[in-house]
Amino acid sequence: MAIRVHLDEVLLRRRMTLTELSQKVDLTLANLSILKTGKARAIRFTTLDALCRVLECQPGDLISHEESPPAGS
Amino acid sequence: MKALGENSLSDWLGVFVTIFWLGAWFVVAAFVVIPFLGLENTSFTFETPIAHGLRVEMQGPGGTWKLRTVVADVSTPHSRAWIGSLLALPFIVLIALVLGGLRKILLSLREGSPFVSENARRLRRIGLLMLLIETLRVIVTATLVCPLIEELEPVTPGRQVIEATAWPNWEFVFTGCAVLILAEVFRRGTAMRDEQALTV
Repeated sequence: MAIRVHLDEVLLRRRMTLTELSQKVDLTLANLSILKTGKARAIRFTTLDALCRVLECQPGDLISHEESPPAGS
Repeated sequence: MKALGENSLSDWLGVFVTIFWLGAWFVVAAFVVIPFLGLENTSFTFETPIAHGLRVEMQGPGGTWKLRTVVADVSTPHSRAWIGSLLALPFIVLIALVLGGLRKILLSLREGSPFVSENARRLRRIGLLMLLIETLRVIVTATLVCPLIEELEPVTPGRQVIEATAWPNWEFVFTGCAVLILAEVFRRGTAMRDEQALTV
């Protein structure tokens, strides 16, 4: 997918583990793991809001768009 | 009585479908195996989906198994009877495949959520098989069964032999189309469910 998630990089900068983050944003470790590994198909605004609040960052710090060849080419 | 879960309507329907599914494969096996077993003086009769009222009988008088087309009050030429009997086989296989798909869907209801992509594929396959069965039936009836019936002579003069129609059974065709549409609805539903499961 053309959307890349940089949660692991942000966590590294904040010196925070995924378990600590899951406790602070009230999300399951499994769901955060799906997000971190790039398997997520969608992210709720409420989740994004919670992540930005806890990690003190902007949505653009967590996700970015990358050019990729169109599907089927 | 609840529709899903243990001891539900789907559970019992699954049992009935399994019985019919096993029965269909038993008939297919009988077609293939029994002529080679040399069983004597045994008779085995079942209805075929080729045409209304046309029956295929397998019996072994005199030590040899013969596949013989039997219709009420009709003397059947043996050479034609072989064709009639063998025509039933692909239809029974197709019906067994439909029942097999339905059985797997019903079993998945017992195991958990029905909204899995495999069930959408099974439902689509059932719809396509239903349309295939009806198309084949019309072609076979028009090209093979109707000429066969025309050659049959009633034992009792003036008595009607059999009726076979090469006209499509529209109820069956519409049901097949409805199953195909439902399969597509099901496929989109499972895709939405998958997306929901991967939304954080």
